[in-house]
This record gives sequence, structure tokens and C-alpha cells, in this order.
Amino acid sequence: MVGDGNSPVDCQQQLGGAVYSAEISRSNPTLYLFLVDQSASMNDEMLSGRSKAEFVADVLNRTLRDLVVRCTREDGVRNYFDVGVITYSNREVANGLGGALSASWLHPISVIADNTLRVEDRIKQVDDGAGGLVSQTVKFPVWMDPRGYGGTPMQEAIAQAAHVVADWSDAHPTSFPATVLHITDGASTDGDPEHNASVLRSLTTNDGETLLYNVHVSSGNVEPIRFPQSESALPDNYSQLLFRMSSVFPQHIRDYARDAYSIYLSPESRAMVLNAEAEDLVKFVDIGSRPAAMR
Amino acid sequence: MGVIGGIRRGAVATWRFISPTYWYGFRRLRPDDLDFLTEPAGSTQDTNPIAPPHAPPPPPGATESHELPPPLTHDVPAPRWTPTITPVTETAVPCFSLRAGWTVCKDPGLPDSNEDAAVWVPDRQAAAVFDGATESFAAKRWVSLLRDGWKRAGALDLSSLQQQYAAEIASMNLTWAQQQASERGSFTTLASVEPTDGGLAATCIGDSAIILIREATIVQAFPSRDPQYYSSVPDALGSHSTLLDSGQELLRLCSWTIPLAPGEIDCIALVTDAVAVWLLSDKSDSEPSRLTRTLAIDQSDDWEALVTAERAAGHMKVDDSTVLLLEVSAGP
Repeated sequence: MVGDGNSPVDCQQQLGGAVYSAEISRSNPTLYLFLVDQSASMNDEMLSGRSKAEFVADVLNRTLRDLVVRCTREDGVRNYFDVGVITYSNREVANGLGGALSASWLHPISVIADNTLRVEDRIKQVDDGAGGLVSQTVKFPVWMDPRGYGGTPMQEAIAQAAHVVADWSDAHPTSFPATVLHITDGASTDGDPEHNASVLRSLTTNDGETLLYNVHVSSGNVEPIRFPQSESALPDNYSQLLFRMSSVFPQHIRDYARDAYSIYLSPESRAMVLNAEAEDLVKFVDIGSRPAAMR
Repeated sequence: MGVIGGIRRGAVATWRFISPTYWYGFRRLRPDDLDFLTEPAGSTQDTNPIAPPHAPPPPPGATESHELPPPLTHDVPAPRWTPTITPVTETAVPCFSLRAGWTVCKDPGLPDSNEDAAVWVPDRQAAAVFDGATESFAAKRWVSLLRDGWKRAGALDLSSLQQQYAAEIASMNLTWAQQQASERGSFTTLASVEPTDGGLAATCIGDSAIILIREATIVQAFPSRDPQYYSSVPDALGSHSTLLDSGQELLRLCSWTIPLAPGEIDCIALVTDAVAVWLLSDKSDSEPSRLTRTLAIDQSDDWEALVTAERAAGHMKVDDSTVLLLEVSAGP
């Protein structure tokens, strides 16, 4: 069956609910593909005083680190995930990973682990066990530096993501389907991305359609709209577009959001946040990159 | 949009309904990882086993081995399971002997990835299975330490084992990823039995199970006979010192003497969770039952074949699958 890409809820119902249940293993890895807006407006400052580009790069690096650590055992890094980063800016859609990783759109997580740009020492505050905080130096691997330049070729970027996911899905028919986390701060400058997003979501493995999560990062003091259930309640065309472009969440993600953040998502909740501030972005990416059962 | 027109449609073309096509890897029991001793069943039956002290000792104030432990004092939940077999007044010590033990790895291409372990100690007639959690940093290492500790003494000195684990990890040259991953620690379940006065001393932590059998029929199962029980996140013994108190509490809460009348059971199966759910959810009227088929197995290849078929049919979860069978006879 081919999903029409326009109605994720209907699609899941038609599939009898037997979706998003594949266990993730080394012989059945899943895919996390990050789609990152690096247009000039990403240089604008967030309320925290840091640029959106800086904060997004930090969140992405931290997420890649968490994925690596989640797969790491005494005997090495187990390839439960394939990972890629696609960036877009000006008129360019590019591989967001540098060095040896720039040769291919996707890499097993162990290759990601072995090819950082650098590993920084950063200070974090940790509980001292007596009600206070102490500073602790931690290793912080960096794969992507912040950047902001030119326009927002979102349509082409999503098309490129669809090419990558199509190839991956064909090669991994029994895997948990691909998850695409899209971080942007504005509207497309190369045309309407909705059709491409629809095609991207319709790419399937035996276990379901590709999951597309969209987060719009804000630089102003605007109330975020988080995980809406209805398009009609949204204020403008852009938010409605983002709604239509976004998947609904599988059950294990809804469970995780509830347990980790007390965020109660309904089966109709769309995987989108509009006007996300720093905390929203961190939570959104963490929720979106939460894998199903690994074995 | 021309770009999209160029996307290969193969991945979009056909919905492929789920059809498990896993290939499975198998691994026969080896002394160094499953630690079965190979004496033939019954080799120790001529001796009169005297049950060693069972860990942990009865809670203060307990006058009968089947009494509940005292109320909890902190955040560990209520007792995980309690024996429900009718207490008897017999004091005879039953005899256990090893009948068979089999395991099948969850991943075909990675036969060394089996994180289950099992052990049989002939001189104590004691047996245990462990199921290392996949999310652990060093599941096999932690399981191995606990298995060896249990084999040596029965009573687990959790504090000492945690210190040994920490020392071993600290001695390793870890990458940044391993360093951060090691903070997760390692976890394992435990199901163990050994004979004691009037019954069997049992410890059951997490979702590894003790199944009591008579004439190829399940009499009772611990921690639960309900297969749904095994779908929740299990309790586990953790490697971090911060988990010492809760681990010791689990050992206390999940250890019981299960009273047994002579002849009440003739077999005990210690199983990890995939096998437990498979056995306990057998609702079919067709013969032979899953338990009967399990009891009839006499070589590793047959267990591998059975697990393969049941996984492919969607009847058994794809996970390390271990079963340890003990014969039970009345004591002298």
C-alpha cells in the first residue's frame, strides 16, 4: 500500500496498527536524518543571546553524541543507527558532516563516532550529592559548526532528503522506518515544500512510513505552538503548512514524551513546534530521536 | 518539481506487510559462557544434599520461611512476587538434578552477543539463569561476575561485586563514548533455585522465571504466571554502587522458600523472559504443548530448531532464549 502522505493518522489506521514495531538491531538498523536550515536568518540571536545557528549546532552535536553513547558498549559502538545531516542555505543543499564523513550522505553510527571534527572539553554543572552543584569537565564531540548564509532552499533540501531516504528504505525493508528531523527558522525561498514533504513521508519500509518532524526556531518572544492536533486552530498559512508536513508520533515516542517531559501527546498530535525557544528545541530533538526497542 | 520526479519509486511502490524474515544465530552451550557442568542428570542424587544457607537471610522477625518481609522503608515497591503454593509441613529436602540446558542467541550474525548466562552447581544442587540487559554498557561482564559470585557462595555479596565491576571498568582504556556510556552501568535479572527444608529456596529478580512442572503441566510460575507481567520493564541488579541499597532490597524482597510436598512437582524450568512468555502464553489446544515439546528436547540443535520456528511464526520474541531444566525427586 502506498501512503498518500497527506493523512498520517488515516494511514496508520489502514495499516492495522502494525507499524513502528520493528525492533532495532545491528542487522536491522534504523535511520536518523537531520535536515538543518543554515540560511542567513539563523545568525539572529535567540532570547538566550546566542545565535540560532550556534544553538542548533550545539543541539545537533549533543544529539549525535547521545546517539553514539546509546549505541556504545564495552566492545565498541554497535551499529543500531545510520545517520546523516543535510544542510541547506543560499542555493546550496549540502552534506552537513565534514572530513571523512563528507563523502557519503549516510554513515553507520560507529563511523560517526570515529570521525568528529574535534572533541572539546566543556564544563557542566552536576549534582554534588549534598544539594549543591559542582563543575565537571566533560568531553563534547563536535561534528558540525554553526553557519548562516543566504536563502532557504527548503524545497530542494527536502527533495534531497527524499532521495537519501528512498535509497535507504529500499536497502532496509525490514527496518524501523527512517526518522527525519527538520530544523528551520523560516519559509522556503525556492518554492512550496509541501509536495516534497508528502513524498518523503510516503517512503516506507515494511514497518511504516518515514517520520518527518519539523521544528521552527524562533528569535523573538513569541508564544510557541507545540504539537497541535488540528490545522484549523493554527494562526497562519506557514503554521498550517508545517502542520501538513509533519507526521504523527508512534506510540513509543508518545510514551517517552509523557515519561521524560510530562508532555501528553495524542495520536493526532503532529510532530511540529512553531516558534520554538531553546528548551523546546532540546526537548523536540530528544523526543524525535528516541529509538524504539533496541536489541 | 523535477527533483522529486527523479526519486526512485521502489521504496514507495508497495506496502510490504510485516513478515518476519529474521535469520537466527545459534550458539550451543559452552562451559565458559553458560557454565553448565556436564555431569549427567542424577549424578548427585545419591548424596544427601544439605541445603546451604540461602541468600539473603530471612528478614528479622520472620519465623516461617513463607512469611512476608517487613514493610518497606523507602521507595522500593512492594514485594514483587509471593509463593502461592499451599504451605506444607514437610521438612524433607527435595533432590534436584540437572536434566538439560539450552540457549539460542538473539542475533544470527553475532553468536558472541548472547547476554544470558546459566549455571548449575552440583554439590549444592543449585541452578540459576541470568539475563543481561541489552542497554547495559558491559552486560556480559556484569552477568559473569554475578554468575561466578553466585556459583561460589549462593549468597550474592553485591557490594563486593559492584566494586569488582567498577575496578575492571576503571582499568580499561575507554574512548570518550565508552566513558560516557559506562555511566549507564550494567544490569541483569536473576532466577535461581536450590533445595531447602520442605521446599525450594528461590530468588526471582526481574523477568527471568522459575516454572514448576508436574507431568508436563505447569503447576506454578514465578514471579508470575501471567505472561503480561513479562512485558513491563523488569527489575534488575545494577552494577553501580548507587544501586547497592535497591539491589540488596530486591534480593531480600524477591527471595522466598516455596514449600513443596513430596511429589508435588517433578521438574523445574529456569527460563529467560522470551521463553517464559512463550511457555506461559500457550493457549493452543493442539498437542504437543510448547512445554511438552521443550521437555522432549535432548540436544541443542533441537532447541535451536524449535526457537527458530517459533520466532518465525511470531510466537516467540526475538531475544536470547535460555532454558535450564532440573529433575525434582523426593529427598531421602
